[in-house]
Amino acid sequence: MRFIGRLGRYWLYSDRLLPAEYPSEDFFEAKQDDISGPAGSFTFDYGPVAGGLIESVRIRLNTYGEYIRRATLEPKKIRTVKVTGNVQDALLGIERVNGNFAASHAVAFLIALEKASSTVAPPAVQLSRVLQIELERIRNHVFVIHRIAETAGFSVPAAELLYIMEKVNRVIGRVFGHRYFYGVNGFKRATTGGGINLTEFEQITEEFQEVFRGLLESRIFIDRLQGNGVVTDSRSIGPTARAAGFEYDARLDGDYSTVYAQLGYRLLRHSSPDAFGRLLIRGEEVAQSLALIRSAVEKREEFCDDAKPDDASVEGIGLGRIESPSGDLAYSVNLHDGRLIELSLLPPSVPNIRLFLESVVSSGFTDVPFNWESFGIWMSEVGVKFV
Amino acid sequence: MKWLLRGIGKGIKTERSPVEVADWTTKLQPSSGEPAPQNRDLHCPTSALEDGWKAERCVFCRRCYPSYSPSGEYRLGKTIRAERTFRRSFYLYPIDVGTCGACNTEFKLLASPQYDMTRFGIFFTNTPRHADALVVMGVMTEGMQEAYRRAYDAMPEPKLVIALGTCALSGGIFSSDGIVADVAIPGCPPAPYTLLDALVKAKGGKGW
Amino acid sequence: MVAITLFILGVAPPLGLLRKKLGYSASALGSVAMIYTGIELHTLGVVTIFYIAAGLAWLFSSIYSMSYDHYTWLAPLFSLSVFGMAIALTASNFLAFLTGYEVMTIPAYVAVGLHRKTDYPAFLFMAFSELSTLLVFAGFLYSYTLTWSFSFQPLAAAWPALLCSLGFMIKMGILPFMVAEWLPIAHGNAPANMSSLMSASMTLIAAYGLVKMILLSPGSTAFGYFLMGIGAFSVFFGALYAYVSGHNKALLGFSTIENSGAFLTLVGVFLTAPTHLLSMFALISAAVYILAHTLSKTGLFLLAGMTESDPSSHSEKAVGSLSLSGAIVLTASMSGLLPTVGGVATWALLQSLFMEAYVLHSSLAVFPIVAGSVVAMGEGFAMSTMLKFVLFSGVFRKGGLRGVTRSVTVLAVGLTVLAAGSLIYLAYAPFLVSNTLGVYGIIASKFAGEPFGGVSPLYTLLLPLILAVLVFAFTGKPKTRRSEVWNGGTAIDDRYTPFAYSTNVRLMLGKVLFTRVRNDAVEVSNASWLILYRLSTLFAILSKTLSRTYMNSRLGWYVVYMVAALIVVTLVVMI
Repeated sequence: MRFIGRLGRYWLYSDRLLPAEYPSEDFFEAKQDDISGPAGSFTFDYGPVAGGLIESVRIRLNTYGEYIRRATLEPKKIRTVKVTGNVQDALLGIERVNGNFAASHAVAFLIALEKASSTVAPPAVQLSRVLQIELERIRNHVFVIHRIAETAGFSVPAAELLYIMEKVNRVIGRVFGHRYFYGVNGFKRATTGGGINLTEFEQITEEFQEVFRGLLESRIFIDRLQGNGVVTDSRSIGPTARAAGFEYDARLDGDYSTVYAQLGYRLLRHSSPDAFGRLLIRGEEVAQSLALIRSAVEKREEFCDDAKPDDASVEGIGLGRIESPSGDLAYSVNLHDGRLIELSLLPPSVPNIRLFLESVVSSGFTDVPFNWESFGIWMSEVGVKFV
Repeated sequence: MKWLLRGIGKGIKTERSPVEVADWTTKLQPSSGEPAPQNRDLHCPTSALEDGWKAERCVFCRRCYPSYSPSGEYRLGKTIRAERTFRRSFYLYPIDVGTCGACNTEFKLLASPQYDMTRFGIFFTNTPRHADALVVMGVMTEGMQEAYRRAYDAMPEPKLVIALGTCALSGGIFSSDGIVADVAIPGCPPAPYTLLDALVKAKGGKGW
Repeated sequence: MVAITLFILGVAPPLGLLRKKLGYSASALGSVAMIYTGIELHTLGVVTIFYIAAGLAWLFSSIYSMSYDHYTWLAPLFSLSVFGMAIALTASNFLAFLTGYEVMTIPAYVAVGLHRKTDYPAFLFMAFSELSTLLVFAGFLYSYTLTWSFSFQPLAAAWPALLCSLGFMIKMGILPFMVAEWLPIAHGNAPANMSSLMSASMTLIAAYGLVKMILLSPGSTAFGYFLMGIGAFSVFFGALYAYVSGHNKALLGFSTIENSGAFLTLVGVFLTAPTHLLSMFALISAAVYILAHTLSKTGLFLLAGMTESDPSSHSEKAVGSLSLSGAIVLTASMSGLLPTVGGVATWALLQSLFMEAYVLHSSLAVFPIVAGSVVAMGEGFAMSTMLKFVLFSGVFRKGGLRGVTRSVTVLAVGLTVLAAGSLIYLAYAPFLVSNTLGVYGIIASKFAGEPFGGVSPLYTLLLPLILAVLVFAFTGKPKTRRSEVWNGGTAIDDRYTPFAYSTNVRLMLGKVLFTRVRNDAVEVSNASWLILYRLSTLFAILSKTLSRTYMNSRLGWYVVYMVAALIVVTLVVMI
């Protein structure tokens, strides 16, 4: 049983929910209070709009000059998403909470919804959803490695990774119709995703391995990452946890774990709890996801679509948790009379931000971008208010 | 050295025209052979079908399918004001005022070898002081109003404002207001081929 | 003329007791007389430069003091100190010199003590000053036993000069253990006009004394290399500690040590130079270095008096653009940039070391080479330190005028430094190159007949000015629009601190500086100070135990002592 984070009014663990009235010593919030330091130190902003940042976030760093004493973070773009009421409209908003994790968000939400309705999606739909999540994982991991290579000034590998990412995006666009899975998923249904060209995937795998291995051969590159952003906290999730050696993965203990087991999923982990370890994990998971996808395409016939009568209930509470590219992602929904009355989200970026702010202490400013990118944090899923 | 040799061996990856266009990033039109669609039956969440298909409102949710279907026309950008000064050198400064992240990623993909924006003289810059155009992505949130104003103020003349994506143009599913811009690029998110075509036109070219 | 100068300066302290402004005016007048005396005595060689430097420093400090002073006791102390310095400078015998030396030190001690009402800096200052006097006195005594006369005469042995030099080096802050921290502590805790006197003028007196004694003694190459080594070491570490110091005035104190080190290096070259021309070049350059330092340090301490910064992060007050212009020239001079006189001095220092390395065709050449490298590194730190000082005093903060007289004084010092740069060629009579390109005052460094290198401060001053005017005339005023500073989309709400400016060196040279980073502070320590402190604590413990042991108030032991003393005295008398 491992601690994941705060989901609405509960603490989410890998096997249970505890009401948040009971304070848990497993959890603490990133201090958002006024950041100021002793004489001689000063606070400066990274963001909200900076060339090095993909999204808008205000990172405040208090430093003595070369040594960061403390960091806090303020999400500047807060969007209000209407989710209560019609489930179809809610799905529109859920998809667009984080476009880069749209499949993960949609699937987790739909699983929660289906559980709340005491029903289960057909196996073919489950397979399609796993396919989407894995494609998304590949794209995101490639993107994170690209960002790190770009920050290090390695333009050629960065461009090659962007090339691979565009290729993956095109596959997604061709197979599912939209490059970010918008409009692809629904209650107990999903676009089945036919027409995946396995040879093309072989090519992508090979090209990626070449670039990844080439990057790992560069001493200068590894130097920027080793020892940078050390996280040994057991309250971590996703690639961060696996890099530190923890066996934490929602594909093992979350929803659809049986599907993953059938596809031959094995947990990957390292014992390098820094940005370098996170890079290694992501690189290896790309290869693994490609293998999982091949396995899924080959086993497609086994997951045949046997239509079941629609036995969805209109009342209930459900929890869905899957492994997004950056860690556990969970939704809990409360259904009443076929309409949503309550929804809570635990995005992977929230625990990752907490870990980032702790790990940035005592480093210099030039280490911060590498550290930030290695967590795969997306601010768009942190700054949402559900109404 | 190894990278150089390997790169030469792989050949040129840049494309002269779009090789692959995803269906649901293109213009939607009434499917032929269908009865004339009734607006109230289509349940468009952003009222994009009031008077024909409005690109700047569409979020590609596919609810109007099969009455409307993709046409494959990816050139969705509209240039209200072009600036020929930037014909040979066009520096873009992106500002994310409230995106879901997808617009940011598609924008970054303009630098991928397939699209290679630099061959058209388009570049990214890290500061508004060196920027020719402010690329606004996402729905305008309260927290980013000040940053948006400051970024615009920090840019020297001549300058353009480019609204990228349905959220920036019309608020998408989040609000009902968009920003006023010189170049409008609809899409949710607009794909790199749409972006490239619109940007080339914005600096006075013929499109892509 | 000397008598007139001394009279006017002697009258200033009692006048200062009556009315502050009167006392300062008298000092100012006396300073002008001093300058005139110096010009009159121009045939005496480098002595002129010292006189003129001293006179100018006192003049500017006095004028500044007229609008700075708000204490009752400062005016007479200030004038008294100046009087003492004048006595020492014009002294023709040991007694007069020592008198002047003490008269200049004691008012400073009083001023430091009364300024912050803490006794630690004052005692520190006095302890080391008296140690310095002691050594100088010993040197003079030795000289007396050689010549049986109190006046300054050529000597046959090198020991008197050696002893005196050690004493003067302590006064300059070089010894003990190089970069002794007492000087910045003492100078940092005095009123600004007093600090400028202490740092600039007292250093000048010590340098003057050192040069005087060395000129009267036979040359000693070993001592010369020793001075070169110590000097280079002090340049580097003085500049380094100046860069990482957290207090503006302490920064300037360390800078004084750095400049004293450079001066000693040049004296070292003078003593070890193989050719006569090279040693002359080194000697003149040493005096020019002191001139440059005296002027610039005076101006900078006067500026520091205007900002009144406190030991923590930010400077409280900013300076107006008048004094800022002066400050920029002064810091440029301390950084060794042409066309200021400091630039000429730094150039001359490095040239001397180059030439010596070139001419010494033996393994001894390693000394000037190593010294040159270390000095160059130190100069690099000096430039960064000065940049930090001027940026945080005025460039980064827009402020108002802080008293017109004071601002104008600082500006005047700056202009003097600039003018001195172009006029200093007058001191380099044997080293001038004939007018080429119609430009006056090209100074060439030589060790034999042909020039080794050359520099023309006047050319460096005029060329950029003329070009700038031409460009401006050609293009006119550019069209601009003012907009707010871009800070990533938010307003700026905190400021870069001078402390943070130097943290990079604190961390990178952490082994040398014994840096300790804690959650609430970053601390550096001075190795020599630590050693000194440790030694003195040990000594204190030792003497306490010793005294407790033998002064144990037991009658029996005292009887034993008396008997022992009786025996010893008898023995001595018998022998």
